[in-house]
Amino acid sequence: MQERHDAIARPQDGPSPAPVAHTPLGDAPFGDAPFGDERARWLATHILPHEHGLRAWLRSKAFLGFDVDDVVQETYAILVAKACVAGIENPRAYAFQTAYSVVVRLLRQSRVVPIAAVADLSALEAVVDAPSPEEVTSARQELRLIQDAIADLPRQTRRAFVMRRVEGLPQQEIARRMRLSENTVEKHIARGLRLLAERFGRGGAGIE
Amino acid sequence: MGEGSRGVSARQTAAVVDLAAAGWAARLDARALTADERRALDAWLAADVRHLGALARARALLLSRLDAPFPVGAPVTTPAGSAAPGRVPLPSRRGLLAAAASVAGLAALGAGMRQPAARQAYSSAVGEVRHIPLDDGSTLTLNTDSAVTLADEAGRRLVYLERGEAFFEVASRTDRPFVLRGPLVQLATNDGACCARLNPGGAPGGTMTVAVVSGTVAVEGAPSALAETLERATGRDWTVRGGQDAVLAAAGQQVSVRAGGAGHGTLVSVETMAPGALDRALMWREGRLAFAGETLAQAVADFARYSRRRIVLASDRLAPRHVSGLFNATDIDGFAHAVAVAFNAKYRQEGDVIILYD
Repeated sequence: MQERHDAIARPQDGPSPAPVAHTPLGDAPFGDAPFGDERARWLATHILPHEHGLRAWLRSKAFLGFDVDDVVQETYAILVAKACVAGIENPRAYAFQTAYSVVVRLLRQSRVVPIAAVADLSALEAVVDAPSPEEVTSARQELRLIQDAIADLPRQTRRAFVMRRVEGLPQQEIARRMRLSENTVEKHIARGLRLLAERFGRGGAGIE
Repeated sequence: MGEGSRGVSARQTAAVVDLAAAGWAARLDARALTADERRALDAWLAADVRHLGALARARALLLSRLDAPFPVGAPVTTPAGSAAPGRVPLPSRRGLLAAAASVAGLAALGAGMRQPAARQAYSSAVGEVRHIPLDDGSTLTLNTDSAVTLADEAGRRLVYLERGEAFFEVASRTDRPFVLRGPLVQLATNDGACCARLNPGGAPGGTMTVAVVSGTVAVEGAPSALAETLERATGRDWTVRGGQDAVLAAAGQQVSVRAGGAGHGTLVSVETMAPGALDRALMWREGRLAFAGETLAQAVADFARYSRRRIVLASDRLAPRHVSGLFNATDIDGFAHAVAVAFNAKYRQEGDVIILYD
């Protein structure tokens, strides 16, 4: 009676390479793009240096009633979830464009849109095209901002963080060298990231 | 917390998001996640699209390399491939790819911008059959103890089947597809009518059976919770693709869907229903149950869906007997009486249970 028996194929189908540590994931609901090192490096190289400029630009439009942090986080979400970034020639413009689209969507969703917003949206668009010379230099300064933020981390956290980030050591190796448990190293890494995210994004990067 | 200004609470929220994101980034960097952790991460990511963004940003911060801005004590040893053996292979990216925003599309910002969908939940009580009229003349009917959520969007009509069984019929051929989503798959049609039933229990996500009454119905892997969150955030369509992973079912066919277990995706089988079986399967829309040679055990199980009360077969000889006939779905007493008469059995009531015995 049965005519077809089709499997809906998924990329993860097929032989599982590591039966030992394999956990039954079933249809795990996320792809590998957000967790791939390659995409994280692309973001680190091409987007992170422009985040400061992006935030400054967003803050100048924040009277429109959106939250800058929300927009930045959503922008990263869209960029990390994108299927392919190889074709993006100008990542900075792309990031601004993406943030712009997020802003527009937020404005359309909000019940009350300031009258100024409508006119200002076209102004937003204009900004996207032309990076000012100041912004070009600020991209370099931005990397220094991260550097400064790392230098200000608590001592142990900084040590673990530098070994991981600058020397590229895996956490197990850091634990061995620092004579700490892997768990503790993970906590230091998490703490460093949190402080960095805060300082680099909201706290340190200039509040009007 | 709470009595601060809006700005303050928003700032706290972003900080809280960053805190959680830093923890996950460090954990992902440390080792492979356990299945429980992965579920927790999944739930966290699905809760808010900003979570994914914060995680991506935290990972970027961790992995960005500066050109030796700090004195390097020990010789730099590059770990031999960060893909340590024994790592859990990262699962499908397809769901995400499907939902990932095309910024070109976003930047168009024209009619394509999807407004947030108005959502409306409906449910039916045990024993109730509920008709839900839809504005374009399409129909949606809920069987006993069922629940759906309707999301009305510009480009399509989206129905989440959360529990039970639903019949839907598209009024006339339309370019606005009717999409019904279950935990395992989604059904999409432009011109069809079909009946979908969720069977809880067994594998995670249970199983689903779909009977196609008319037209053509595409059965596809449903987008993940995260993909959906992204989709909502980005306004991107998850449209019907006639690609290789859609199974098309035609009128008179029944589709069975179950999870294939780890790494095997979703299994879909299609079979042609016996003549008359389809009509009988849909009798519930008139509040009736039709049997044509089902075992008494099966019939009793069917009745149990329509009543808080249930029948217990206390005699082994009764269960395999075959029953035929048309019954009122909610008249469990009438059914018990008919069975007793037909098979020369007796019955008695004990609370909510009707016991059939020799």
